[in-house]
Amino acid sequence: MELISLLWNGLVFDPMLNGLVLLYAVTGRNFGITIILFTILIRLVTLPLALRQIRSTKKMSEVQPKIQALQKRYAKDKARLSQETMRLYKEMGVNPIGCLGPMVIQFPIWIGLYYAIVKVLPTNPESLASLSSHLYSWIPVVHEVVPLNSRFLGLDLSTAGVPPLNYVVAFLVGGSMWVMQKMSTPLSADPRQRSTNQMMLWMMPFMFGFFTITLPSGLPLYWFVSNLIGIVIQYFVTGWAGLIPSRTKPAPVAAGVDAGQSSPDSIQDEETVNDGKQSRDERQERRGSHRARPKGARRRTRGSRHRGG
Amino acid sequence: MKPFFLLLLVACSSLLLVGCIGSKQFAATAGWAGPLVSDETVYLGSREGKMLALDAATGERRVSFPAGEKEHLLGIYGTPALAGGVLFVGDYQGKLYALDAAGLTKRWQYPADERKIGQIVGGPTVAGNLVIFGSSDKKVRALLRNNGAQEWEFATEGMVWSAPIVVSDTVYVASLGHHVYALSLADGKPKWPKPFEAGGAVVASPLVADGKVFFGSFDRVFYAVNAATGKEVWRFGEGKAWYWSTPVTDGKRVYPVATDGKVYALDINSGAKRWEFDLGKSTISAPVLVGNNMVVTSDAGLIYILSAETGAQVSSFDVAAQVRAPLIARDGVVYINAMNHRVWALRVSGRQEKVWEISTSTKE
Repeated sequence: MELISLLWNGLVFDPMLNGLVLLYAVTGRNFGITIILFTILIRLVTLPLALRQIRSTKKMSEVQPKIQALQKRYAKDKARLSQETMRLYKEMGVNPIGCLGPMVIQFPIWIGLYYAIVKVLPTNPESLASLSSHLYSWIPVVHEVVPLNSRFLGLDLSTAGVPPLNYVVAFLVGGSMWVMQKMSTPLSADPRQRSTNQMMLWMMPFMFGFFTITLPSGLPLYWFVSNLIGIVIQYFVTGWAGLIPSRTKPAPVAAGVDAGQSSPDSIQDEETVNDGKQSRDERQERRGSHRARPKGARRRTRGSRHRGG
Repeated sequence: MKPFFLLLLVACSSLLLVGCIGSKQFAATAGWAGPLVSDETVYLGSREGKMLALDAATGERRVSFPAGEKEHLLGIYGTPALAGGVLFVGDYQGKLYALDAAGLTKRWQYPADERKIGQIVGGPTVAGNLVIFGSSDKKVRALLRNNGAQEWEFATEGMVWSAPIVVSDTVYVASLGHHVYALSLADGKPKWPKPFEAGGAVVASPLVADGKVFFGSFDRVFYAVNAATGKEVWRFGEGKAWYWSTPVTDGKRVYPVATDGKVYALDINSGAKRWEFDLGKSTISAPVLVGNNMVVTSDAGLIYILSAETGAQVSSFDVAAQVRAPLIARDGVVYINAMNHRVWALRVSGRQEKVWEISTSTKE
């Protein structure tokens, strides 16, 4: 545990904390401005990861109709389903956990930033005393500006806000989070998925709104700015996406025929045509397995294709 | 593995990380008050928010304030002050209490109503008929000792977390806003043409001796300022860490302790370094002089006895707990309020021995 703590402090927490204090020292000694600038800076540094995550999520949502078609087609053959799904991912250039990689990398950054903000705005002598060991001795200015001035736009960033200002901030945080989530959540025709998405869409903003009322105001400011940047990034990659439903349609469960996409049968055909590297034997094998499917299954697929149309 | 479970795994790992590492980032407001030793009694703010009166000979608890088992103050950091049978103590909730020293019953409190002022971290100081204290709302207040009526107040440019020091008719106050002030005891008006401005926050009470005001700052500089004019006499900038505690002096040298555990002996007239000693661990506890020795401690829980003349270690004593409260000495005995709720009385002059050790926790 000691080693984890050392690594965490040395690689994530201390650099962030000193960065925050340094930024405060050189940008007019206003911690509100510092939080805004630092959040922008961090968002810029992690932009490639964020973009990758958004694109990956977008691709995943685009490939969903085909996945669902495969699920229907190979409902009774899990092994084949898995094989075909992986092949589809490969051919479409989708990494099923591609959206999680960037998220995993970003998590320590967000957690570090969270604690850095809490730490540099000490709420009692104990926290101020423990700050000393985290500041770099080779940057004199970070020692000179501590403790930081925590006043910003009528808020004391080191303590929880007071009514009614804290409710306004909670609304801004919750509202911006809702918008960001709404934009980034792909529409789904799967009722179970839709219900989960719907729950997350409301639960997270409410949760963070509640945190806003109880936690030091510096954190809600960071969340709000971070959400706004997230909305801007999302807009440039996907447009308003799920925010304006009239511009988007839910992905159909059955094979995306609406969108002019192929049926499970034609998926395979399309894959075969596209995949020039595949050997003749492989193609024959796949056709063979195609033919070997039970009749009922084929009919069901066609039926669903018909319904989809 | 399905993405949902991976996401769940990531979320759980993050929570674990937050739990393991994060818990160290948040420190509870529990206080670290230095004891006040009168003839037969040791007064002490416990880390559970109780003001205690202990028998100085045995450490046995006599009375406490608040008396109720579940009642307590919030964070007592300052050493209390005693005058005319009345004990004065402030707490982190922003209340100053005047207690009957014998029974620790409340005589008055400031503010008298439910109103709160800024958190009180430094202890109060008694001078004449006034009790003077600073608070986190950037104010220094002087109240009448007998009833708590406010006599004057002075606005500083930063929070005041230290006890004001009164010498003759002047009150010296340090603030986290980088300034040290000299105020008139009578009316709180500034006595220097302008306050002394250090390069960083000044959290500890200054030491006034030899016509100078000594204090260290977060800019890692230790200052000596003319007590009458507020002009800098000398500065010591070799330190690499903050100064959090009040220094001590034997008249020839002044002894500051930096937060990285470095103890310095500086010539009182020139600031030239005579010796330094490394405690090897960080500290914010103030040292104390006992005879020719200096007693100082660190977060490691070791009490060092150093020769004030040479800086050589005479001996050490392990209390096995972090100590942040200032060390207080009387009649060769040093009183230590450790962070593990235990209070020690150690004889450090002559034969070194533990006089007593008690727990201030109600849970033991």
